[in-house]
Amino acid sequence: MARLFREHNEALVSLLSLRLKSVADAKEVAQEAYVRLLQLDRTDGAASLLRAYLFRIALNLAVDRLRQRTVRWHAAPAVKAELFEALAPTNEVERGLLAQEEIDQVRRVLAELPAPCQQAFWMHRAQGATVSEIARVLSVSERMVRHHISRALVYCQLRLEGATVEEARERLKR
Amino acid sequence: MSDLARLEAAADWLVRLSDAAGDETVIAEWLCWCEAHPENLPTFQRMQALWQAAVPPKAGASPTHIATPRAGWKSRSRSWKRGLRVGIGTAAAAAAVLALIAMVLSMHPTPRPMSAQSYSTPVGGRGLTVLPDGSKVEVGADSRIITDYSSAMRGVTVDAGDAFFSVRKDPRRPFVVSAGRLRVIAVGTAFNVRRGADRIVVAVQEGRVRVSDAVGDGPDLGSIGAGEEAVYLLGPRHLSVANIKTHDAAAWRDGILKYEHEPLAAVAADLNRYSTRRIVIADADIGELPFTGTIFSGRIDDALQALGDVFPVRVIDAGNAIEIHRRAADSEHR
Repeated sequence: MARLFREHNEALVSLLSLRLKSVADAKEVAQEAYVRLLQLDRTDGAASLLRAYLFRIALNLAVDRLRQRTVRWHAAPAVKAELFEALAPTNEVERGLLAQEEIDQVRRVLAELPAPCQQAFWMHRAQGATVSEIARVLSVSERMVRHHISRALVYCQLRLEGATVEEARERLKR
Repeated sequence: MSDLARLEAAADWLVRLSDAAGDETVIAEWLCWCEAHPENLPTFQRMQALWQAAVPPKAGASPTHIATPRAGWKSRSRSWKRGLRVGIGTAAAAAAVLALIAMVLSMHPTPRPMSAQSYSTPVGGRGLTVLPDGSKVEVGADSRIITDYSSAMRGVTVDAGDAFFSVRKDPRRPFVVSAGRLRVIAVGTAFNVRRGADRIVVAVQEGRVRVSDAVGDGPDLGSIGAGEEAVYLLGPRHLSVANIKTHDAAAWRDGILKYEHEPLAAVAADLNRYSTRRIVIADADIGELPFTGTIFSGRIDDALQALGDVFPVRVIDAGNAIEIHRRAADSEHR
Protein backbone atom coordinates (compact mmCIF):
# COMPACT_ATOMS: atom_id res chain seq x y z
CA MET A 1 0.00 0.00 0.00
CA ALA A 2 2.76 2.37 0.91
CA ARG A 3 4.47 1.39 -2.32
CA LEU A 4 1.33 2.23 -4.25
CA PHE A 5 1.38 5.65 -2.66
CA ARG A 6 5.06 6.21 -3.39
CA GLU A 7 4.87 5.06 -6.96
CA HIS A 8 1.69 6.74 -8.08
CA ASN A 9 1.25 9.75 -5.88
CA GLU A 10 3.03 12.08 -8.24
CA ALA A 11 1.09 10.95 -11.29
CA LEU A 12 -2.15 11.10 -9.35
CA VAL A 13 -1.53 14.62 -8.07
CA SER A 14 -0.58 15.66 -11.59
CA LEU A 15 -3.80 14.31 -13.03
CA LEU A 16 -5.91 15.79 -10.25
CA SER A 17 -4.38 19.22 -10.53
CA LEU A 18 -5.16 19.17 -14.24
CA ARG A 19 -8.76 18.51 -13.29
CA LEU A 20 -8.99 20.79 -10.24
CA LYS A 21 -6.63 23.51 -11.47
CA SER A 22 -5.12 23.64 -8.00
CA VAL A 23 -2.16 21.67 -6.70
CA ALA A 24 -3.19 22.17 -3.08
CA ASP A 25 -6.65 20.74 -3.75
CA ALA A 26 -5.12 17.92 -5.77
CA LYS A 27 -2.88 16.87 -2.87
CA GLU A 28 -5.80 16.92 -0.47
CA VAL A 29 -7.97 14.85 -2.78
CA ALA A 30 -5.15 12.35 -3.37
CA GLN A 31 -4.69 11.96 0.36
CA GLU A 32 -8.39 11.45 0.92
CA ALA A 33 -8.45 8.84 -1.85
CA TYR A 34 -5.75 6.81 -0.07
CA VAL A 35 -7.63 6.97 3.19
CA ARG A 36 -10.79 5.75 1.48
CA LEU A 37 -8.92 3.00 -0.30
CA LEU A 38 -7.47 1.80 3.02
CA GLN A 39 -10.96 1.72 4.52
CA LEU A 40 -12.23 -0.34 1.61
CA ASP A 41 -10.34 -3.29 3.06
CA ARG A 42 -9.32 -4.52 -0.36
CA THR A 43 -5.69 -3.78 0.07
CA ASP A 44 -4.66 -7.33 -0.69
CA GLY A 45 -5.63 -7.16 -4.37
CA ALA A 46 -3.29 -7.09 -7.34
CA ALA A 47 -1.32 -3.88 -7.70
CA SER A 48 -2.89 -2.92 -11.02
CA LEU A 49 -6.38 -3.40 -9.60
CA LEU A 50 -5.58 -1.29 -6.56
CA ARG A 51 -4.23 1.43 -8.76
CA ALA A 52 -7.40 1.44 -10.81
CA TYR A 53 -9.45 1.73 -7.59
CA LEU A 54 -7.27 4.52 -6.33
CA PHE A 55 -7.62 6.59 -9.48
CA ARG A 56 -11.35 6.01 -9.72
CA ILE A 57 -11.92 7.08 -6.11
CA ALA A 58 -9.71 10.11 -6.56
CA LEU A 59 -11.46 11.25 -9.75
CA ASN A 60 -14.87 10.85 -8.14
CA LEU A 61 -13.70 12.93 -5.21
CA ALA A 62 -12.41 15.55 -7.65
CA VAL A 63 -15.82 15.73 -9.33
CA ASP A 64 -17.46 16.18 -5.91
CA ARG A 65 -15.03 18.90 -5.03
CA LEU A 66 -15.66 20.78 -8.28
CA ARG A 67 -19.38 20.59 -7.58
CA GLN A 68 -18.92 21.85 -4.02
CA ARG A 69 -16.93 24.73 -5.33
CA THR A 70 -19.79 25.84 -7.54
CA VAL A 71 -22.22 25.55 -4.66
CA ARG A 72 -19.94 27.51 -2.38
CA TRP A 73 -19.83 30.29 -4.92
CA HIS A 74 -23.54 30.47 -5.25
CA ALA A 75 -24.06 30.20 -1.53
CA ALA A 76 -22.04 33.19 -0.36
CA PRO A 77 -24.57 36.03 -0.40
CA ALA A 78 -22.30 38.92 0.56
CA VAL A 79 -20.49 39.05 -2.75
CA LYS A 80 -21.94 40.11 -6.06
CA ALA A 81 -23.08 37.36 -8.37
CA GLU A 82 -21.03 38.86 -11.17
CA LEU A 83 -17.88 38.28 -9.22
CA PHE A 84 -18.61 34.58 -9.11
CA GLU A 85 -19.42 34.58 -12.75
CA ALA A 86 -16.03 36.05 -13.40
CA LEU A 87 -14.37 33.29 -11.45
CA ALA A 88 -16.52 30.31 -12.21
CA PRO A 89 -15.63 29.32 -15.77
CA THR A 90 -11.86 29.32 -15.51
CA ASN A 91 -11.45 28.69 -11.83
CA GLU A 92 -7.78 29.52 -11.74
CA VAL A 93 -7.50 29.14 -8.02
CA GLU A 94 -3.78 29.54 -7.91
CA ARG A 95 -3.21 32.12 -10.54
CA GLY A 96 -1.99 34.51 -7.84
CA LEU A 97 0.97 32.19 -7.38
CA LEU A 98 2.06 32.53 -10.98
CA ALA A 99 4.42 35.36 -11.68
CA GLN A 100 2.92 37.91 -14.03
CA GLU A 101 6.21 37.87 -15.92
CA GLU A 102 5.91 34.18 -16.61
CA ILE A 103 2.33 34.60 -17.80
CA ASP A 104 3.31 37.44 -20.12
CA GLN A 105 6.24 35.47 -21.47
CA VAL A 106 4.07 32.46 -22.29
CA ARG A 107 1.53 34.70 -24.05
CA ARG A 108 4.26 36.36 -26.08
CA VAL A 109 5.76 33.05 -27.17
CA LEU A 110 2.35 31.66 -28.09
CA ALA A 111 1.76 34.74 -30.25
CA GLU A 112 4.69 33.63 -32.46
CA LEU A 113 2.77 30.59 -33.65
CA PRO A 114 0.68 30.36 -36.84
CA ALA A 115 -2.89 31.58 -36.39
CA PRO A 116 -4.70 28.20 -36.55
CA CYS A 117 -2.34 26.84 -33.91
CA GLN A 118 -3.04 29.77 -31.58
CA GLN A 119 -6.76 29.58 -32.21
CA ALA A 120 -7.00 25.92 -31.31
CA PHE A 121 -4.79 26.38 -28.27
CA TRP A 122 -6.72 29.30 -26.76
CA MET A 123 -10.13 27.81 -27.49
CA HIS A 124 -9.07 24.73 -25.56
CA ARG A 125 -7.23 26.53 -22.80
CA ALA A 126 -9.27 29.71 -22.34
CA GLN A 127 -12.73 28.50 -23.21
CA GLY A 128 -12.57 24.88 -22.23
CA ALA A 129 -13.86 23.88 -25.67
CA THR A 130 -13.42 20.17 -26.38
CA VAL A 131 -11.33 18.93 -29.28
CA SER A 132 -14.43 17.92 -31.22
CA GLU A 133 -16.06 21.32 -30.70
CA ILE A 134 -12.94 23.11 -31.91
CA ALA A 135 -12.76 20.79 -34.91
CA ARG A 136 -16.33 21.71 -35.87
CA VAL A 137 -15.82 25.44 -35.49
CA LEU A 138 -12.51 25.52 -37.36
CA SER A 139 -13.70 22.95 -39.93
CA VAL A 140 -10.65 20.71 -39.52
CA SER A 141 -10.24 17.15 -38.25
CA GLU A 142 -9.99 16.39 -34.53
CA ARG A 143 -6.56 14.96 -35.22
CA MET A 144 -5.51 18.32 -36.62
CA VAL A 145 -6.83 20.14 -33.56
CA ARG A 146 -4.87 17.86 -31.23
CA HIS A 147 -1.80 18.38 -33.40
CA HIS A 148 -2.19 22.18 -33.24
CA ILE A 149 -2.54 22.26 -29.47
CA SER A 150 0.31 19.90 -28.68
CA ARG A 151 2.50 21.67 -31.22
CA ALA A 152 1.81 24.98 -29.47
CA LEU A 153 2.85 23.43 -26.16
CA VAL A 154 6.03 21.87 -27.50
CA TYR A 155 7.03 25.07 -29.29
CA CYS A 156 6.42 27.08 -26.15
CA GLN A 157 8.46 24.69 -24.04
CA LEU A 158 11.38 24.80 -26.49
CA ARG A 159 11.32 28.58 -26.51
CA LEU A 160 11.20 28.78 -22.72
CA GLU A 161 14.15 26.39 -22.56
CA GLY A 162 16.11 29.00 -24.49
CA ALA A 163 15.68 28.08 -28.15
CA THR A 164 15.39 30.99 -30.58
CA VAL A 165 12.34 31.33 -32.82
CA GLU A 166 14.29 29.81 -35.74
CA GLU A 167 15.70 26.94 -33.69
CA ALA A 168 12.33 26.03 -32.25
CA ARG A 169 10.69 26.12 -35.70
CA GLU A 170 13.51 24.11 -37.21
CA ARG A 171 13.28 21.42 -34.54
CA LEU A 172 9.54 21.13 -34.96
CA LYS A 173 9.89 20.68 -38.70
CA ARG A 174 11.64 17.38 -38.30
CA MET B 1 12.95 8.33 -27.21
CA SER B 2 14.50 11.71 -27.99
CA ASP B 3 13.78 14.72 -25.81
CA LEU B 4 11.69 16.26 -28.54
CA ALA B 5 9.66 13.09 -29.02
CA ARG B 6 9.12 12.95 -25.27
CA LEU B 7 7.96 16.58 -25.23
CA GLU B 8 5.56 15.83 -28.07
CA ALA B 9 4.22 12.74 -26.33
CA ALA B 10 3.77 14.70 -23.09
CA ALA B 11 1.89 17.46 -24.89
CA ASP B 12 -0.31 14.91 -26.61
CA TRP B 13 -1.17 13.27 -23.29
CA LEU B 14 -2.01 16.63 -21.80
CA VAL B 15 -4.49 17.35 -24.58
CA ARG B 16 -6.03 13.88 -24.34
CA LEU B 17 -6.35 14.02 -20.56
CA SER B 18 -7.83 17.50 -20.44
CA ASP B 19 -10.25 16.63 -23.24
CA ALA B 20 -11.65 13.32 -21.97
CA ALA B 21 -12.70 14.08 -18.41
CA GLY B 22 -12.23 10.93 -16.37
CA ASP B 23 -11.91 8.47 -19.24
CA GLU B 24 -10.38 5.49 -17.46
CA THR B 25 -8.83 3.92 -20.56
CA VAL B 26 -7.00 7.13 -21.40
CA ILE B 27 -5.80 7.42 -17.82
CA ALA B 28 -4.61 3.81 -17.74
CA GLU B 29 -2.70 4.29 -20.99
CA TRP B 30 -1.20 7.49 -19.70
CA LEU B 31 -0.01 5.74 -16.53
CA CYS B 32 1.66 3.08 -18.66
CA TRP B 33 3.47 5.82 -20.52
CA CYS B 34 4.48 7.49 -17.24
CA GLU B 35 6.00 4.24 -16.05
CA ALA B 36 7.78 3.49 -19.30
CA HIS B 37 10.60 5.94 -18.63
CA PRO B 38 11.71 7.87 -15.52
CA GLU B 39 11.79 11.14 -17.51
CA ASN B 40 8.24 10.83 -18.82
CA LEU B 41 6.28 12.05 -15.81
CA PRO B 42 8.65 14.98 -15.06
CA THR B 43 8.33 16.05 -18.71
CA PHE B 44 4.56 15.82 -18.46
CA GLN B 45 4.67 17.96 -15.31
CA ARG B 46 6.73 20.60 -17.08
CA MET B 47 4.10 20.69 -19.83
CA GLN B 48 1.44 20.95 -17.22
CA ALA B 49 3.18 23.91 -15.57
CA LEU B 50 3.28 25.56 -18.97
CA TRP B 51 -0.42 24.82 -19.51
CA GLN B 52 -1.16 26.38 -16.13
CA ALA B 53 0.98 29.43 -16.95
CA ALA B 54 -0.85 30.01 -20.22
CA VAL B 55 -3.47 32.05 -18.40
CA PRO B 56 -6.08 33.50 -20.72
CA PRO B 57 -5.98 37.30 -20.62
CA LYS B 58 -9.31 37.56 -18.85
CA ALA B 59 -8.12 35.51 -15.90
CA GLY B 60 -4.84 37.35 -15.82
CA ALA B 61 -6.50 40.52 -14.58
CA SER B 62 -5.15 41.96 -11.37
CA PRO B 63 -7.04 41.24 -8.14
CA THR B 64 -8.39 44.79 -7.97
CA HIS B 65 -9.80 44.30 -11.42
CA ILE B 66 -11.50 41.10 -10.36
CA ALA B 67 -12.94 42.74 -7.26
CA THR B 68 -14.93 45.25 -9.25
CA PRO B 69 -18.47 43.96 -9.67
CA ARG B 70 -18.38 44.45 -13.41
CA ALA B 71 -15.25 42.37 -13.92
CA GLY B 72 -15.36 39.14 -15.81
CA TRP B 73 -17.35 38.18 -18.75
CA LYS B 74 -19.47 41.25 -19.11
CA SER B 75 -16.55 43.59 -19.11
CA ARG B 76 -14.56 41.28 -21.32
CA SER B 77 -16.03 42.73 -24.44
CA ARG B 78 -15.50 46.20 -23.09
CA SER B 79 -11.83 45.67 -22.39
CA TRP B 80 -11.58 43.96 -25.74
CA LYS B 81 -12.95 46.97 -27.52
CA ARG B 82 -11.00 49.43 -25.46
CA GLY B 83 -7.85 47.40 -26.10
CA LEU B 84 -8.39 47.60 -29.81
CA ARG B 85 -8.65 51.34 -29.66
CA VAL B 86 -5.88 52.14 -27.19
CA GLY B 87 -3.69 49.07 -26.98
CA ILE B 88 -0.94 49.56 -24.41
CA GLY B 89 1.26 47.08 -22.56
CA THR B 90 -0.42 44.00 -21.17
CA ALA B 91 -3.79 45.36 -22.15
CA ALA B 92 -2.66 45.21 -25.75
CA ALA B 93 -1.42 41.64 -25.43
CA ALA B 94 -4.62 40.71 -23.65
CA ALA B 95 -6.69 42.49 -26.24
CA ALA B 96 -4.82 40.83 -29.06
CA VAL B 97 -5.63 37.39 -27.73
CA LEU B 98 -9.21 38.30 -26.96
CA ALA B 99 -9.60 39.80 -30.40
CA LEU B 100 -8.17 36.57 -31.76
CA ILE B 101 -10.62 34.49 -29.79
CA ALA B 102 -13.43 36.72 -30.96
CA MET B 103 -12.27 36.21 -34.53
CA VAL B 104 -12.09 32.47 -34.12
CA LEU B 105 -15.63 32.54 -32.96
CA SER B 106 -16.51 34.93 -35.72
CA MET B 107 -18.86 36.30 -33.13
CA HIS B 108 -18.90 39.96 -32.32
CA PRO B 109 -19.78 40.82 -28.78
CA THR B 110 -21.46 44.18 -28.59
CA PRO B 111 -21.52 45.99 -25.26
CA ARG B 112 -25.02 46.81 -24.17
CA PRO B 113 -26.35 48.76 -21.24
CA MET B 114 -27.46 46.95 -18.10
CA SER B 115 -26.39 43.34 -17.79
CA ALA B 116 -27.19 42.30 -21.34
CA GLN B 117 -24.56 41.10 -23.79
CA SER B 118 -25.11 40.33 -27.43
CA TYR B 119 -23.29 37.99 -29.78
CA SER B 120 -23.78 37.70 -33.52
CA THR B 121 -22.33 35.78 -36.43
CA PRO B 122 -22.07 36.86 -40.09
CA VAL B 123 -23.68 35.10 -43.06
CA GLY B 124 -22.00 31.71 -43.47
CA GLY B 125 -20.23 32.04 -40.10
CA ARG B 126 -20.62 30.18 -36.88
CA GLY B 127 -19.48 30.61 -33.32
CA LEU B 128 -18.88 28.90 -30.04
CA THR B 129 -18.69 30.55 -26.66
CA VAL B 130 -18.78 29.64 -23.00
CA LEU B 131 -21.35 31.57 -21.00
CA PRO B 132 -20.52 32.91 -17.51
CA ASP B 133 -21.94 29.84 -15.76
CA GLY B 134 -19.93 27.40 -17.86
CA SER B 135 -22.81 26.50 -20.18
CA LYS B 136 -21.80 26.42 -23.82
CA VAL B 137 -23.55 27.80 -26.84
CA GLU B 138 -22.85 27.12 -30.50
CA VAL B 139 -24.35 29.74 -32.75
CA GLY B 140 -25.19 29.10 -36.40
CA ALA B 141 -24.79 31.34 -39.43
CA ASP B 142 -26.24 34.86 -39.44
CA SER B 143 -27.57 34.42 -35.92
CA ARG B 144 -27.78 36.65 -32.89
CA ILE B 145 -28.17 35.84 -29.21
CA ILE B 146 -28.41 38.17 -26.23
CA THR B 147 -27.56 37.02 -22.73
CA ASP B 148 -29.05 38.48 -19.59
CA TYR B 149 -27.68 36.81 -16.48
CA SER B 150 -28.84 37.59 -12.98
CA SER B 151 -28.35 35.79 -9.69
CA ALA B 152 -31.83 34.27 -10.03
CA MET B 153 -31.88 33.33 -13.69
CA ARG B 154 -29.65 32.62 -16.66
CA GLY B 155 -31.48 34.39 -19.49
CA VAL B 156 -30.67 34.15 -23.19
CA THR B 157 -32.67 35.52 -26.11
CA VAL B 158 -32.33 33.96 -29.54
CA ASP B 159 -32.92 36.97 -31.73
CA ALA B 160 -32.22 35.30 -35.07
CA GLY B 161 -30.97 32.01 -36.44
CA ASP B 162 -29.78 28.87 -34.67
CA ALA B 163 -28.34 28.32 -31.22
CA PHE B 164 -27.38 25.00 -29.68
CA PHE B 165 -27.09 25.09 -25.89
CA SER B 166 -25.26 22.69 -23.59
CA VAL B 167 -26.56 23.82 -20.24
CA ARG B 168 -24.65 23.29 -17.03
CA LYS B 169 -26.85 21.88 -14.30
CA ASP B 170 -27.98 24.42 -11.70
CA PRO B 171 -31.47 23.87 -10.29
CA ARG B 172 -31.33 27.15 -8.35
CA ARG B 173 -30.77 29.23 -11.43
CA PRO B 174 -32.89 28.07 -14.34
CA PHE B 175 -31.59 28.56 -17.86
CA VAL B 176 -34.30 30.41 -19.77
CA VAL B 177 -34.18 30.90 -23.53
CA SER B 178 -36.62 33.30 -25.15
CA ALA B 179 -37.27 33.14 -28.87
CA GLY B 180 -40.03 35.41 -30.04
CA ARG B 181 -43.19 34.33 -28.32
CA LEU B 182 -41.69 31.12 -27.03
CA ARG B 183 -39.89 30.53 -23.77
CA VAL B 184 -37.78 27.43 -23.13
CA ILE B 185 -36.75 26.60 -19.58
CA ALA B 186 -33.90 24.19 -18.86
CA VAL B 187 -31.99 23.11 -15.82
CA GLY B 188 -29.19 21.06 -17.30
CA THR B 189 -29.63 19.75 -20.84
CA ALA B 190 -28.51 20.13 -24.46
CA PHE B 191 -30.97 21.56 -26.97
CA ASN B 192 -31.23 23.64 -30.13
CA VAL B 193 -33.42 26.67 -30.79
CA ARG B 194 -34.02 27.91 -34.32
CA ARG B 195 -35.92 31.08 -35.10
CA GLY B 196 -37.47 30.74 -38.50
CA ALA B 197 -39.62 33.22 -40.39
CA ASP B 198 -42.89 31.52 -39.50
CA ARG B 199 -41.88 29.19 -36.66
CA ILE B 200 -39.65 28.51 -33.70
CA VAL B 201 -38.18 25.03 -33.52
CA VAL B 202 -36.88 23.56 -30.27
CA ALA B 203 -35.04 20.22 -30.53
CA VAL B 204 -33.72 18.41 -27.47
CA GLN B 205 -30.62 16.26 -27.60
CA GLU B 206 -30.24 15.52 -23.92
CA GLY B 207 -32.36 15.97 -20.81
CA ARG B 208 -35.66 17.82 -20.82
CA VAL B 209 -36.92 21.40 -21.26
CA ARG B 210 -40.20 23.15 -20.50
CA VAL B 211 -41.79 25.32 -23.12
CA SER B 212 -44.16 28.19 -22.44
CA ASP B 213 -45.59 31.28 -24.04
CA ALA B 214 -43.23 34.18 -23.45
CA VAL B 215 -45.90 36.84 -23.19
CA GLY B 216 -46.68 37.84 -19.63
CA ASP B 217 -47.03 34.82 -17.37
CA GLY B 218 -47.61 32.84 -20.54
CA PRO B 219 -49.30 29.46 -20.32
CA ASP B 220 -47.17 26.37 -20.00
CA LEU B 221 -47.10 24.50 -23.29
CA GLY B 222 -45.63 21.28 -21.93
CA SER B 223 -42.26 19.64 -21.72
CA ILE B 224 -40.04 18.14 -24.40
CA GLY B 225 -37.50 15.40 -23.79
CA ALA B 226 -34.43 14.05 -25.55
CA GLY B 227 -35.20 12.94 -29.10
CA GLU B 228 -38.19 15.27 -29.41
CA GLU B 229 -38.68 18.38 -31.47
CA ALA B 230 -41.32 21.02 -30.87
CA VAL B 231 -42.45 23.22 -33.74
CA TYR B 232 -44.26 26.38 -32.71
CA LEU B 233 -46.06 28.08 -35.59
CA LEU B 234 -46.16 31.84 -35.06
CA GLY B 235 -49.32 32.41 -37.11
CA PRO B 236 -51.78 29.97 -35.56
CA ARG B 237 -49.74 29.83 -32.30
CA HIS B 238 -49.79 26.11 -32.48
CA LEU B 239 -47.24 23.79 -30.92
CA SER B 240 -46.66 20.28 -32.25
CA VAL B 241 -44.14 17.75 -31.00
CA ALA B 242 -42.49 15.07 -33.13
CA ASN B 243 -39.82 12.44 -32.58
CA ILE B 244 -36.37 12.98 -34.04
CA LYS B 245 -33.00 11.29 -33.76
CA THR B 246 -31.10 12.95 -30.92
CA HIS B 247 -28.10 13.67 -33.14
CA ASP B 248 -30.41 15.52 -35.53
CA ALA B 249 -31.30 18.10 -32.88
CA ALA B 250 -28.62 20.43 -34.20
CA ALA B 251 -27.75 18.87 -37.56
CA TRP B 252 -26.78 22.35 -38.83
CA ARG B 253 -23.55 21.87 -36.94
CA ASP B 254 -22.67 19.22 -39.50
CA GLY B 255 -23.87 21.35 -42.39
CA ILE B 256 -27.23 19.59 -42.72
CA LEU B 257 -30.37 21.72 -42.92
CA LYS B 258 -33.70 19.94 -42.58
CA TYR B 259 -37.11 21.38 -43.33
CA GLU B 260 -40.53 19.90 -42.96
CA HIS B 261 -43.60 21.50 -44.52
CA GLU B 262 -41.96 24.88 -44.26
CA PRO B 263 -43.06 27.65 -46.67
CA LEU B 264 -40.53 28.14 -49.45
CA ALA B 265 -40.11 31.79 -48.45
CA ALA B 266 -39.14 30.77 -44.91
CA VAL B 267 -36.72 28.15 -46.26
CA ALA B 268 -35.16 30.76 -48.56
CA ALA B 269 -34.76 33.14 -45.62
CA ASP B 270 -33.06 30.40 -43.62
CA LEU B 271 -30.78 29.42 -46.52
CA ASN B 272 -29.81 33.07 -46.89
CA ARG B 273 -28.09 32.71 -43.54
CA TYR B 274 -25.58 30.43 -45.25
CA SER B 275 -25.56 31.49 -48.88
CA THR B 276 -23.12 34.12 -50.11
CA ARG B 277 -25.50 34.85 -53.02
CA ARG B 278 -28.91 36.14 -52.05
CA ILE B 279 -31.81 33.84 -52.73
CA VAL B 280 -34.78 35.85 -53.92
CA ILE B 281 -38.34 34.65 -54.28
CA ALA B 282 -39.51 36.71 -57.22
CA ASP B 283 -43.22 35.86 -57.10
CA ALA B 284 -44.83 36.11 -53.69
CA ASP B 285 -47.32 33.27 -54.17
CA ILE B 286 -44.67 30.60 -54.71
CA GLY B 287 -43.27 31.56 -51.30
CA GLU B 288 -46.27 29.74 -49.82
CA LEU B 289 -45.35 26.37 -51.35
CA PRO B 290 -44.56 23.89 -48.57
CA PHE B 291 -41.03 22.53 -48.76
CA THR B 292 -39.87 19.30 -47.17
CA GLY B 293 -36.30 18.13 -47.59
CA THR B 294 -32.67 18.14 -46.60
CA ILE B 295 -30.18 20.67 -47.94
CA PHE B 296 -26.43 20.66 -47.36
CA SER B 297 -25.32 24.15 -46.40
CA GLY B 298 -22.23 23.77 -48.56
CA ARG B 299 -24.23 22.90 -51.66
CA ILE B 300 -27.15 25.27 -51.64
CA ASP B 301 -26.85 26.18 -55.33
CA ASP B 302 -27.25 22.54 -56.40
CA ALA B 303 -30.26 22.10 -54.14
CA LEU B 304 -31.94 25.18 -55.58
CA GLN B 305 -31.32 24.07 -59.15
CA ALA B 306 -33.15 20.84 -58.34
CA LEU B 307 -36.11 22.80 -57.02
CA GLY B 308 -37.56 23.11 -60.52
CA ASP B 309 -38.08 19.34 -60.59
CA VAL B 310 -40.52 19.29 -57.69
CA PHE B 311 -42.13 22.71 -57.83
CA PRO B 312 -43.64 24.76 -60.67
CA VAL B 313 -40.74 27.18 -60.42
CA ARG B 314 -37.88 28.36 -62.56
CA VAL B 315 -34.53 29.01 -60.90
CA ILE B 316 -32.53 31.76 -62.55
CA ASP B 317 -28.87 32.39 -61.90
CA ALA B 318 -28.66 36.19 -61.84
CA GLY B 319 -24.99 36.61 -60.97
CA ASN B 320 -24.87 37.70 -57.37
CA ALA B 321 -28.41 36.51 -56.69
CA ILE B 322 -30.41 33.37 -57.33
CA GLU B 323 -33.98 34.14 -58.33
CA ILE B 324 -36.88 31.77 -58.00
CA HIS B 325 -39.74 32.60 -60.39
CA ARG B 326 -43.14 31.10 -60.97
CA ARG B 327 -43.08 28.89 -64.03
CA ALA B 328 -45.74 30.06 -66.43
CA ALA B 329 -48.35 27.33 -66.95
CA ASP B 330 -47.86 27.29 -70.70
CA SER B 331 -44.08 27.18 -70.54
CA GLU B 332 -44.30 23.49 -69.67
CA HIS B 333 -45.84 22.73 -73.04
CA ARG B 334 -43.31 24.56 -75.12
